[in-house]
Amino acid sequence: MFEIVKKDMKLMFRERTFVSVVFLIVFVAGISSVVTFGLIMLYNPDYLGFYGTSKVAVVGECFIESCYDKKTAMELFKSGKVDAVLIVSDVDGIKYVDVIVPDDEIKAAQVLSYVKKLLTEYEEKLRNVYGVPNLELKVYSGGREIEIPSGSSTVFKFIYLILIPLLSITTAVVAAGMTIDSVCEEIQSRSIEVLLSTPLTPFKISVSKVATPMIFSSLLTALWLLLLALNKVDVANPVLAFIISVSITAFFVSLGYLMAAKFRDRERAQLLFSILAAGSLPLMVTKYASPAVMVGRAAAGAEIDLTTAAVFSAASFALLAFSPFIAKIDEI
Amino acid sequence: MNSVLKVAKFEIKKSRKRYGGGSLLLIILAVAISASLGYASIITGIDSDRGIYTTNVKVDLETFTSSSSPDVALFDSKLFVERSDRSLAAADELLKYLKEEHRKRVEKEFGEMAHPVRVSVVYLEPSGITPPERVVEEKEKPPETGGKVSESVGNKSSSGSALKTTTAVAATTAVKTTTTPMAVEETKPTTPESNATYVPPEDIKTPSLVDRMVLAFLFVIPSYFTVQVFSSSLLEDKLLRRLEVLLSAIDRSDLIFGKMLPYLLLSLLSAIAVSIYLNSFLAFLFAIPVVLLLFSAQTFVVMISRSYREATFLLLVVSLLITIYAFIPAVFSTAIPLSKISPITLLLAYIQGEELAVSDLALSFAHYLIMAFMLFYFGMKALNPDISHGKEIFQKLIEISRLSVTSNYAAFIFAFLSISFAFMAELFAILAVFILPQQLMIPALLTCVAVVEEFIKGIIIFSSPTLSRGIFTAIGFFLGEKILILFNVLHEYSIAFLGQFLALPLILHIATAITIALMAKKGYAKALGLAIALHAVYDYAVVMLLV
Repeated sequence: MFEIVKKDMKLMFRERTFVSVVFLIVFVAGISSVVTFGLIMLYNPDYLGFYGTSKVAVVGECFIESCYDKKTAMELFKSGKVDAVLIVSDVDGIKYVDVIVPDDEIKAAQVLSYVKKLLTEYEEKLRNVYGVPNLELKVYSGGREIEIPSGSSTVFKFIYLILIPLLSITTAVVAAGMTIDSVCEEIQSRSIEVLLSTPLTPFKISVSKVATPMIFSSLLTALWLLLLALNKVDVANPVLAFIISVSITAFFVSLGYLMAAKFRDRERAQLLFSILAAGSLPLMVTKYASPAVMVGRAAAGAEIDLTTAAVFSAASFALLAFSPFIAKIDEI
Repeated sequence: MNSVLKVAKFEIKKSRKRYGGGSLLLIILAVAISASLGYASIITGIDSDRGIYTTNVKVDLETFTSSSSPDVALFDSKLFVERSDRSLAAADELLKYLKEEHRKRVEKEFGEMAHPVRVSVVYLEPSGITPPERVVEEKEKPPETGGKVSESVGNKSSSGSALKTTTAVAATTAVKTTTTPMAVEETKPTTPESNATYVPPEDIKTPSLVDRMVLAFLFVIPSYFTVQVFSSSLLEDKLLRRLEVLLSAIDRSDLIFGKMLPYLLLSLLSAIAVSIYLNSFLAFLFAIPVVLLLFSAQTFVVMISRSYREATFLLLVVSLLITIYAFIPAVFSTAIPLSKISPITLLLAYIQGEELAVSDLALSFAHYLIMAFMLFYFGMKALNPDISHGKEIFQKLIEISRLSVTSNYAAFIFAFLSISFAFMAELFAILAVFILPQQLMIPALLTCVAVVEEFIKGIIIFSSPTLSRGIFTAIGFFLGEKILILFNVLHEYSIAFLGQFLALPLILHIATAITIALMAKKGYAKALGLAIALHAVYDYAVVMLLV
């Protein structure tokens, strides 16, 4: 039995499988910082002080230096000398501001984040004059006052609640794909006949077909947890994260094995598997009770529902243990 | 053409046999389950962040739970945090909540004076200002982003109906005070309903592409499944040596295109269906380059892989790379002009109704189509028993190069076209070096560029390592680089690509190409290693000395 596991592992290394999967995982983890950065800019362009230096012209109530009459302001806007025109009119102390920005998404996003900052400050100033309290909240860390970059929470949630669950699911999907391939390859290339003529029982062959991907994915999970830590992403509870992640793999590998043994044909098994995996992906990354989310939460050091986690892990490993009994790959 | 159709018909028949009866039913069932799971996730919403942070006070927020050792602590209008990501994130979330609470309080207490500044955003094309008859319509905000805004406005109008009337007055006075007829005036709200667009400054929404990003995925997602079925079928035919049998009767290109045709049509139809659904009829055209690249890359991978397992992973890697390459630039479209290299960025802009520059379109389509064409071509060349079975991937690449690059002119053309791949790889290198410490970024990037460029040149030169082949390859590659500079795409990255110099890069490319050609006899690895080292040292020296 161990011979088959050894053979499959050897093949994997020779065929660069391991290399390409590691590359995949490293790549996903590596560019995560870039993707996060981009997403933050999309959601929240003022993150990291991304205000730029937009030029604005003010018409009417003059609250900054660059004030013009409307005609000049519009001409400046037309010639591109200013990026936005703010037409301010006062009605009973309330300033109504028409902000004219270019009808171009990229420019508008940059200008608007600047205008937003400008007008928020103006509002605070006016509130002070009118006696409306502004929120005075100071943040301290280690005895010093600090500035919290807005968007920190989004970044944090992205890493722990999207990226880590995705890494865990990718590992599981890869392992399941591997199971399907390795079972179907033996059947379709008829090498199963050769294996069956050896003292190995069909049961042992089945067990070795699910054992290899499990070993592989456990190594992989440990590797990406380590890479995250090296990337300065704190992993608060690595053992728990590892166990839950490996149980997700166990569940997926069992499904992959059952489909492959049932269809005995790679194309259909892979298609069916990928349709189901793609369909359940949204639930797996959005739900509190999803095991993949639990991996992320365990890494973040947040509380998880331990009963659900334990039941899921036990059920997955039970399914994995029983799958060679449910479907054998003996008859041709 | 006839034989293409014949192969296509055969392919459909094969699929029908495979998916006949029970299998099809199971697949349909799986699709139905997937769709309902997806739907369930939409209607039940996201709760993965429930109680992820802790604080010492009781807050009415799902993401927080109370704890005696909290991530963020609040003591009389002071927040105390630790220097950890989690603590900072918790503080950010709590601050947002406290701001919202404060806002509710002052709105209740001070009514409309709580927001002494109200803003309405008007999008206007600067060049379209003069004609007075032009009516500029204010863009409507999508309901989900406007929800919060209208809610707060609603609160205010219930506290005092004066708000609506005053705003109307403001609008009319603004119109009256001006004498020059300008288009802006038409945008002034004249009815009480449109006054709802005046919002407090903190509610200004910057245009966001995220919603449409999801739409863009709709165009390509069905293709992932069709291309998967295609590559599986092709792989099976290859591994069972059916392709070799078919080759004796049918032309290579007819065989591949015939097998691909049904799946390609299916992808195209799904993209057209999405276009019609979105009422943006030509949008599917932008998906074509991406879909073609997916198909061609998978064909190539199938041709060079030895087993199911090897193919599965290589297919996964190339699909992921293409997805990232096509979609990630769209994320940066608000900040980086280079993002227009992806047809997906252009697709989003098109759906939005923005005008697209012909040069952007040409460059982006040419970039993707050239890569797709080359991968198809190499895939066809690789349809050869010597390459299909056995050998290392690197050896296969050289074998394919030997079959494809048959003359110095071919070397020139391929080197010229392969700049597309170099460009793609170098953009990935830019993404990858982001994670490094600042002082390592430039050296790492320069090394990556050297590796990518010399590797590509090397593969072409190894087809026949002679001096002339080397020089033709170098000149082709050099011209390709210059074309990109001409298009100005590398404007911002010219340091990395050393684009501002003319003679020096030419000399460099020729020098390294000759090195590769001469050293090839001593081993490919040695030849490439030396060329890469030469290139990297040169790049580094130029950056240090001249920039």
